[in-house]
Amino acid sequence: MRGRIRWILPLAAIPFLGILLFGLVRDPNFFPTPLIAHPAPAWHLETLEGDSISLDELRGKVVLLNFWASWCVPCRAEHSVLTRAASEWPEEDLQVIGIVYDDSRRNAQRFLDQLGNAWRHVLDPGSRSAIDYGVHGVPESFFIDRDGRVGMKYIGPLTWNAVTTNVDSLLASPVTAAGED
Amino acid sequence: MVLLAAAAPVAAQEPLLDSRPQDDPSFLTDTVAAVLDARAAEIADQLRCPVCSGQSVLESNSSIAQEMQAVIRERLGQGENEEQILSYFVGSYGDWIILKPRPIGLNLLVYLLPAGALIFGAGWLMVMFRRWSGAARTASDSNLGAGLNDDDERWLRDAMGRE
Repeated sequence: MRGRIRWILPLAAIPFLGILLFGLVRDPNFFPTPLIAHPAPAWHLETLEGDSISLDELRGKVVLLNFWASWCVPCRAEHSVLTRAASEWPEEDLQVIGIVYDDSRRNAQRFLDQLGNAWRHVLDPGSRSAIDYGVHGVPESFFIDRDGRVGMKYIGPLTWNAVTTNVDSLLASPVTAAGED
Repeated sequence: MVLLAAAAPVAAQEPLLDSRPQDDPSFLTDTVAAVLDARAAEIADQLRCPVCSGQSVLESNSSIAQEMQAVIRERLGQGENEEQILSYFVGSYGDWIILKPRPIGLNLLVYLLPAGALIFGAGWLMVMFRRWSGAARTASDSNLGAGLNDDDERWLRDAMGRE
């Protein structure tokens, strides 16, 4: 009896170790949003300059939708990655769109004056779009395919690797639609 | 009879908390607003604030929580019910936006594991208590404590006058 009991603790630890190991092989920046493979929530918002864009009019192109704020420190880090992305692919392939989260037009403009303004940014009054997309912090980015479906939600500052992997994959093939709910 | 007659006029003269007549349109909209606010608060209380640790949307002062409350009130005004509004948030954020995990699937572990651990712990203690007191009892009959070899044990038994 004593001999068998000695094994219970190590054996019981195995499933917990299994869970930890499973966590190690997952990408910490990938967020399992329920929006994956679903149509990206529509928006029609005003740009910093006063024009307006809608998600609909970008249909047919891959969209990199980036939620950011001037008070967000990691957003500064990913700005250069996004700048590169904006020029790396032709406009008919990739559209980078920034959505300002919980910030003023003036602060956003000042941030861009400092770091560069190479793509379009829209304001999100009342954070309605942020709530639609389930944004719970910045920066968060959504890769949307040509058909308007969400391919991937990335949390944290984007890396170049993450951008190329996701954009190239969505350019090659759109997301298969989610099954019936 | 006299008491009833005395009570009636007193009741009629008691001032209402809101002195507007009930067919005043502003009274109606304010009442509707109050009811919607109460329902919105009930819903907000079930949602997790996405940027806080463990606070509900109702408790949190963060701006996103305030915006979410506004969304709830808006949707209530548009005629949605609680179930629809909660599904909307779950559809955007995921199951974790509901403060109390629904007891289905893997979430059952949240409820079963602590209960299980308690039962297991209590059971283990019971077994150990029995074993400890049992050891004290049987030691007097058989081994007289661990580690005595047979000769010593026999000598001790004789000294203690047992069989």
